[in-house]
Amino acid sequence: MRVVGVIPARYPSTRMPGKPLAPILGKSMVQRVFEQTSCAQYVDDVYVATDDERIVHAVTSFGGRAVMTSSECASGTDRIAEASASIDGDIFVNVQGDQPFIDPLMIDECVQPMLDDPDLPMSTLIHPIHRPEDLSDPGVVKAVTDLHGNGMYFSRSLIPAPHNDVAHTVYEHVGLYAYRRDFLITLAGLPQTLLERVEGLEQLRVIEHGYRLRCVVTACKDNELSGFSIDTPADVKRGEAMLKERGLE
Amino acid sequence: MNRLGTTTGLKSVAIIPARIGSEEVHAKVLTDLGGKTVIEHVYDRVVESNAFDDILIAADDNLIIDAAQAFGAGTYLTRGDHICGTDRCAEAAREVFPDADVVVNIQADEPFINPKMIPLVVTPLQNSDEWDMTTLCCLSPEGSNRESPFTVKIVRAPNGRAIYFSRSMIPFPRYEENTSYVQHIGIYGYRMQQLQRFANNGPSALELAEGLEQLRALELEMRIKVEETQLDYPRVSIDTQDDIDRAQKLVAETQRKTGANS
Repeated sequence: MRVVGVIPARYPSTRMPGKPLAPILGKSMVQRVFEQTSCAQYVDDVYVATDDERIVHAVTSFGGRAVMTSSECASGTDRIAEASASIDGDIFVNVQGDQPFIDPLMIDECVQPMLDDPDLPMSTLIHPIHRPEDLSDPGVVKAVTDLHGNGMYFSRSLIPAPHNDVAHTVYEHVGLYAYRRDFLITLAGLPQTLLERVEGLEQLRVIEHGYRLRCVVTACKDNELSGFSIDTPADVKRGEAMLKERGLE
Repeated sequence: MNRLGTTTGLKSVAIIPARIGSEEVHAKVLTDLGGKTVIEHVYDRVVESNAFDDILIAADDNLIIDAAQAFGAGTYLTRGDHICGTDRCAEAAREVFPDADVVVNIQADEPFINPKMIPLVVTPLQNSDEWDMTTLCCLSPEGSNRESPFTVKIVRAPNGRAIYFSRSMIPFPRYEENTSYVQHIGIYGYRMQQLQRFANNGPSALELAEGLEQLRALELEMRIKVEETQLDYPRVSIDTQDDIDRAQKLVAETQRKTGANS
């Protein structure tokens, strides 16, 4: 099985144009994601999928590989599906371009069930929510899974709803995905679905069309760092502070 | 009463599970509503649906069994430690109707259930092997009790498959404010084998967290077809003294209108 990490990286951004090139303690965000992804044991190859020559240039100058994709891609999945046409691989991992501190272990955790179960089309990660304020935050996406660990539903509402004071775990979804090559093409061709539009959650398309989406509970402890997303210049400052706090600069 | 059954050769039975204990009202299903107990109202509506080869009341106490026999219903005395109505149905079905193909679970505490709704959970199981289970829903208009945790919401796939049931607001309306909500109506149809599989597995994590037995079926990867209906009925489920008062008023009004004394 050839496992390829693909990092979708768009140049335009309303809050932070050229975001993938923003330096974090002197190293660009896209290079950080690239290096973290390359550290994953199962990953054979890493590509940046972008819509802009400036990003291609930056990636090739630190020794990485980039593929140009259309600026029309509506989502990261579409961009990876397009990129996969020119890349040799069996399993593609979608590593978010705005999560520069992603733990390579998480990438391996996400790929594992795809290696174990050749019929599984797609997998992703979840982790238990510990902060009470996250439970009511619609920005924190919750996931419920069946007895085999397949995602049943993802919501910005609190699921499961706590009704009987029974101790239970609420999981947050981590936006890291692995797809089997064929399924990536299938998925990009599937029509948008109602719940996907209403909740604004792309992964619901998979569920609504009846495909299995395995959810692995990550063993990664420092979710604050590994799941940290950068959307604004203030986030860059915060990210730099987090690295320093942990002695990782 | 063998209307749907004879056309397909599948044996369909209805089971009304009832228990004597309840947090707020003891023996609530034996409450009198205009001269009939709550459970007799339910039974009469199931008979009226004309959808079954057989109908059974499955209760955990002889008080209910005696009352049911007095109005001529078939009965079965179950164990007292079932955690939900489906587990009670599974025991009764196994013992009384081992040859049934389709079992329908009708709640004993909803005296105004519309008989026309009941066949809707039978037909999909007779017409297609695709489904393990069935249930009902209606679209809930703006301003109804959609935010109440006692209103159970459903999200469905485009083919009508239940994705999840919750007491939370699902879907969360991030982008389209005018989404109509899908409200669950708690009648279930099961394929016999799946009913037994449900009972053999014991309560699941999500079932216990939300207090919704149907989540066990989803966690077991059962395919539940959610039939949508526009048929309506007064949603009074007998849980509190307030519910009893409302139900008695409704029955009195109906009797006044029809002049009937049933």
